[in-house]
Amino acid sequence: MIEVTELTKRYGSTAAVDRLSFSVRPGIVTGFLGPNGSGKSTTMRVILGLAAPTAGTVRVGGRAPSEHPAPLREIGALLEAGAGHPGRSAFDHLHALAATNGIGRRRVSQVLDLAGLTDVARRRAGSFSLGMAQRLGIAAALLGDPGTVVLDEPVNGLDPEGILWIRDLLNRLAGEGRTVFVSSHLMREMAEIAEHVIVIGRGRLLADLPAEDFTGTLSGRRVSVRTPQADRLEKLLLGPDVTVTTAGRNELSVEGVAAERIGDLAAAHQIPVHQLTTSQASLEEAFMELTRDAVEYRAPEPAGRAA
Amino acid sequence: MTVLTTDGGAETRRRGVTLPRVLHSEWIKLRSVRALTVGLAATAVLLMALGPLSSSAMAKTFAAGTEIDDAPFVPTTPVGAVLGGVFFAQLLTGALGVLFMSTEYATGMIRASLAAVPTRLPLLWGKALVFGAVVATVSAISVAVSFLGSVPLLDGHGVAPSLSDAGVLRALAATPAYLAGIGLIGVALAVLMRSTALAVTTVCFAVFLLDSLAGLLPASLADEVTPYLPATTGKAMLTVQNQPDLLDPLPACLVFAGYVIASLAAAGVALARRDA
Ligand SMILES: Nc1ncnc2c1ncn2[C@@H]1O[C@H](COP(=O)(O)OP(=O)(O)OP(=O)(O)O)[C@@H](O)[C@H]1O
Ligand SMILES: [Mg+2]
Repeated sequence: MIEVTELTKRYGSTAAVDRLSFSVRPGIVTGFLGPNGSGKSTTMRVILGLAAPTAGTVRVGGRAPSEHPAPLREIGALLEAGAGHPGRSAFDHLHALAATNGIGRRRVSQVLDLAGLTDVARRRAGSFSLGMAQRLGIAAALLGDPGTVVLDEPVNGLDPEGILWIRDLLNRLAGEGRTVFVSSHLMREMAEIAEHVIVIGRGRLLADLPAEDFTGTLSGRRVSVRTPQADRLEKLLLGPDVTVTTAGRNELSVEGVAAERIGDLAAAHQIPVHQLTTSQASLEEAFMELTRDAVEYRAPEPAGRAA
Repeated sequence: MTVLTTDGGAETRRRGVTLPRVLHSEWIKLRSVRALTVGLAATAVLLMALGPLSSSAMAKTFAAGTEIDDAPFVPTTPVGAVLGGVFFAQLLTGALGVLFMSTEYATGMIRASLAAVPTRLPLLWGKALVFGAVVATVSAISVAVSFLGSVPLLDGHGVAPSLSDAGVLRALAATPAYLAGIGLIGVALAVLMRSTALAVTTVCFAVFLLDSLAGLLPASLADEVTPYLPATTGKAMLTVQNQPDLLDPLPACLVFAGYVIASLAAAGVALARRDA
């Protein structure tokens, strides 16, 4: 359980995090979303006690970061990939961290195994690929078998297989009753991994809701349907607040009706459906819509427009 | 509430962060980076080789009957010859002390280290104790080897130092302490500056250049200030005969210890206060 209350973190005159409150429940994967520079990493650093809040409090398992007698057993974190001496072996890197909390070599070998790094455990960490460094960081986060896991952009630089590995791992950790908090600036990624999402922009809370609702309310509006009986289905779907456009032969683009409802309707009227998809692009669009006013760094308007 | 506190206490003792555990961690960090182990080995080689080399140079000078002048790097006393490597070794231990700490900042390791030890100060004390102890042990052994290797070379001319001569044992014993102290100043500067280049430059400056710079002061002022500079107090600790322009060994030792403690204390304050 992570509880963030009225957290503010200022760097000079800019507030990286601005009166942010939320809590992260155990047992599910919670996504932490926001555009670049919105304060995700800063919030995570405060949760770990690495940065002092300007105002507000942070509690993990009911205690402030520096009050945990054996912090690695309470909260494990991945903050930056490859955060370790490049000349040190993966094993020694983990062993040095583990030793501070009285964690032994056996556990070090276990987490190396868990991260799939056993074969390269004695290699210099500096020779690792981005994906391997990311796995090493995750191994470090799991050293103390912690009840809370905080990962900053863990899928950065991972190939599809790596992403799948992370997703399974996170689900497994959450399934064991742990609190799992994972940041990303990619909505789509999060929609696949997280059960609950917390969205921030410019350091402020924008949304705190189940991922399903997020995708449902914000992006479920456009569904594309492919059916040989497009005309019939279109007539059935039409109603108030519903727009249907023909997106090609045998293809409809529907806004205002959820995909499930469309499928049910088609089945009830025995209309064959060949494809039914909630548009993925609209998920990112919804996210961008939500965070538009809160984007810190935006590409400049095309030249000439401003004048 | 009371029950909870008691339980927490028991738990702390059983599986919490303790100084011995941090020492173990820092020992792993030190032995697992080649730049550090090679650097420490080089320090040992310097101390063991330059002592006998200086002694043999001194012996040759005696044999030729020439006067010993005080050209740089040519020792003027037999103990100075035994400790011929110290001048260079201090540069190495200072730089290695910096490196041991500054790479934590350069690689981002500091965040993982502090997340594991959120009370922070044990990390600094652990690093300082491990590095200080390793440097002191390595230099004590090296100085002993240098002494044993140098005595036969100087003996022929009747100038071999004996441990029973006044000040000889003290000068030899002060050497590991001085080298470890310079290393600790390096560790502290690395915390304060968080930059390898800046901290190494500062150590070199303090050790090699500060006393020359003091020479630019008006002569009367320079005479007052110079004996209290870090390198000058080091010289006083490692010299057998009392010299008028140096402090006595014990006060010199205290002043030098003051530098080490003050820089570590400043580093402690910075580490505890700053965001990582
Ligand atoms: N140490 C610091 N000093 C000054 N400003 C900082 C510092 N750390 C972060 N900031 C500022 O705080 C804001 C939030 O940064 P943060 O790194 O938390 O964002 P983020 O959400 O993690 O972004 P990204 O998706 O790019 O990783 C940014 O404007 C950043 O410039
Ligand atoms: Mg970030």
